[in-house]
Amino acid sequence: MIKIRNLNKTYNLGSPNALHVLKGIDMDVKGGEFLSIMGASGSGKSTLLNVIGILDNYDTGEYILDGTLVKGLSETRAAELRNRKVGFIFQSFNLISFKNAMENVALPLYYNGVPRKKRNALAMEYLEKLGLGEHADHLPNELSGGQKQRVAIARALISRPSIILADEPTGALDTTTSREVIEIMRDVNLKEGITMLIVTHEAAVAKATDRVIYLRDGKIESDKHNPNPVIEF
Amino acid sequence: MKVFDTDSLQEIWATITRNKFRSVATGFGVFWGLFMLIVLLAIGNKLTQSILAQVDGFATNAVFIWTERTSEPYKGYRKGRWFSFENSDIALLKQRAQTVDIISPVLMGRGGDKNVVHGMKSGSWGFHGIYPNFYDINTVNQDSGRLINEIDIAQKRKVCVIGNVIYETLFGPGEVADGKFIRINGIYFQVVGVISPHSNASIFGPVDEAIHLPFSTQQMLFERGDSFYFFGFTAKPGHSATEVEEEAKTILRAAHDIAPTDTKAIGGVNIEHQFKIFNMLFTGVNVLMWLVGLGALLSGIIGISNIMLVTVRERMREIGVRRALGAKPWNIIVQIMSESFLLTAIAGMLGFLCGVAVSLGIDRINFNGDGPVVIIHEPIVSFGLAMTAMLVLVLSGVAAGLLPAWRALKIKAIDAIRDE
Repeated sequence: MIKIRNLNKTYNLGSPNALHVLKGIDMDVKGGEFLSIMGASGSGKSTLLNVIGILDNYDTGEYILDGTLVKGLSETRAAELRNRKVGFIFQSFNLISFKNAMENVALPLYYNGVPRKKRNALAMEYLEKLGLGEHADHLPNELSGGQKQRVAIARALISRPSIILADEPTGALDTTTSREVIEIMRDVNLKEGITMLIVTHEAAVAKATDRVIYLRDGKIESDKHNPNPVIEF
Repeated sequence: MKVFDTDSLQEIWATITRNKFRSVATGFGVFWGLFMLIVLLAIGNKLTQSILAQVDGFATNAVFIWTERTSEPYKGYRKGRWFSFENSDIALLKQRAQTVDIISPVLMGRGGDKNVVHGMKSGSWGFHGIYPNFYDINTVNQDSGRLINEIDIAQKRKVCVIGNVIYETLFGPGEVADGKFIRINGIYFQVVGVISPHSNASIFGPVDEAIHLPFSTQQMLFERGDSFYFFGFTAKPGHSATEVEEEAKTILRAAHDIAPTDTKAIGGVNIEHQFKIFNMLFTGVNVLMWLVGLGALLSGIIGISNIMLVTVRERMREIGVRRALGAKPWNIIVQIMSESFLLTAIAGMLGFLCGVAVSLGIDRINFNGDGPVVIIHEPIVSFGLAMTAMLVLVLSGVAAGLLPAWRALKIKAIDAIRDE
C-alpha cells in the first residue's frame, strides 16, 4: 500500500538556512492498517503526512502509493491521485462554510466528475452511516465540533480512498467527542477496510491504534506494534 | 472537460450570492461603466446624425465659383475689369478639367416687388436658371410633378419648378399647380413641379422659396447673350474640392485673359472644407465619448478585479481545502474566472440594457435648437455597437478574472490548511 524508501526532504534547499526535516525515512504500511505517527513538534511528522498525502514533494528517495511512484508529478496529476487515493481529516475540520453538510461531503465527487444527483445521494448515505442524516442541510456553523469532524470523516470516506490521513483529528475536540471520533475511525477501518494513518501528539490517540511510529528529528526512532489497542480518554 | 455545466454554474452562483452586498456593489462599477459607454456613444451618434441631417442631400465635395472684378492689370487690360462666364466655358471645362465631375452653371434672376403672380395672388422672389445636374449637387424633395430636365434645356421651354412656400402662397389649399401658368417678371411660365427642402443646407437661399427655370430659357429671356456669372461643380472620386476649385479657376482665368496670379477675380466657396471641420468635430466627439465610456468601464473592471483579489485572499483556506480534496489547478482557474466573468456579464448586460433604454429617450431630445426633431431612423445603438459592447464586456470579464485566478493558483494546499 505505502512503500517509502530513504525519503529525504529539505526546506530551503541550497540556502544557508536549509532545514533538513526528513532524513532517510523507510516505512511500509499494509492495506487496512490502523496506525499513528507520534513525535514532538518539529519532528517532521506533519511534513511526512503532507508527502504521503501528495500535498508536498520530496527531494530524494522513493514513495510508492498503491503501486504508483509518486515523484515529480504535475499539479493536475497530483490532484487526480489525491482525489482518488487519499482522504483527509484535519484538526480544524476545514469544512466549506457556505456549503451544507451534504454538499461538503459530496465535494470530492464533484472534482471526480460524478453528477450532482448521484453524489448527493451518496453523500446522504455516508452522513446517515455516521448518524448525521438529520443534519444534512445544516451549515458547518450550525454543527458541534464532533458533528463537524464526523462530516469531515464522511467527506474523507466518500471517494473510497486507499488511505485516510488524519492530522490531529481530536486536537480541537473535548475528551468525549475525541473518543467518539476515534471510535468511528476504528469502526470505518474495520468495516470498510480503509487504511487509517493518524498523526497525533496525544498518547491516548496513539494507544488506540495497532501500530505506533515515533518520529524524532526527521528520523524514525521506533516503530512498535501495539498488541492491545484501547480507546480510553 | 466541460467548462460550464449546471454544477459549476451552481457552484459559482453560490459563491456570488454568498456575499450579496459586495457582489452588487462590485457589479455596479461595471454596470455604470457600460451604461455610460452606451449612453455617451448614443449621444455622440445622435449629435452627429442631427448635424448631418441638416446638410444631408448636399454634395459634400461641391465647389461654387463666381465672377468678381479683376485685381491685376493683364494683357493690356486695366485692373478692376468686370467680366462674365460664357457658354463656351462649359465645353472648355468639360474638355480640359480633369478633376471636375458635375459642371452646373447657374443663372441668377433678380426679383422685384410682387414679380411673381398667379391669378389674384402674388409675391416677391428671385429665380434661378439651372441645368438638371444642379439637383445632384443640392438634392431636393419632389412634392409633385417633375424637375427641370434636358428637353427643357434643349427646347428652351418656358417651364418652372417652384418651392413649396411659393406654391402655398400662389395656390389655394389642395389646388394642383402642375400645368398652371404663373407670371414671372412679366413672362408666363408653366409650373411643372413643386419641390421642398431635403435638408437645411442649400445654396442660393432656402429651397422652399426657390423658382427654377431651364438655364437656356432664362438666358434667352432675361440675360444678355450667352453670359452667366455662377458655376457649381463636384469633384471626381479621388479628387478634393480644393483641387477642383484651383483647376477650374486656372482654366477660366486663362480663357478670360486674367492674370494667373489674380486670386480675386473669381470668387469661390468650398463646401468640402466645411465638411472637414464637421468631420473632425464628429471624430473628436466620438473619441471623447469612447475614452470617457471606456474609462468608466475600466474603473469598474478594476473594481471587480480588486474585490476578487480580496475574495481570493479571504478564501485561501477554502481554496486550499478544495485543492486537498482533488481540485485541479484548472478547476480553480475556471472557478475564479467564471465568478468574475459572471459578475461582469450580469452587471454589464444590465448596464447595456439600461443604456439602450436611456438612449431611446435621448433620441427624442431635439439637438437642433428650434428646428424639427431629427429622429434617427437607424437604431441609435447600432448592431455593430451592440456587438462591440458585448465584446468589450467579455474581454473585461476575462481581464478582471486573470489576476485573481493567478493569485488563487499560487495558493498551495498545505499552506492554506496548516493549522498553526
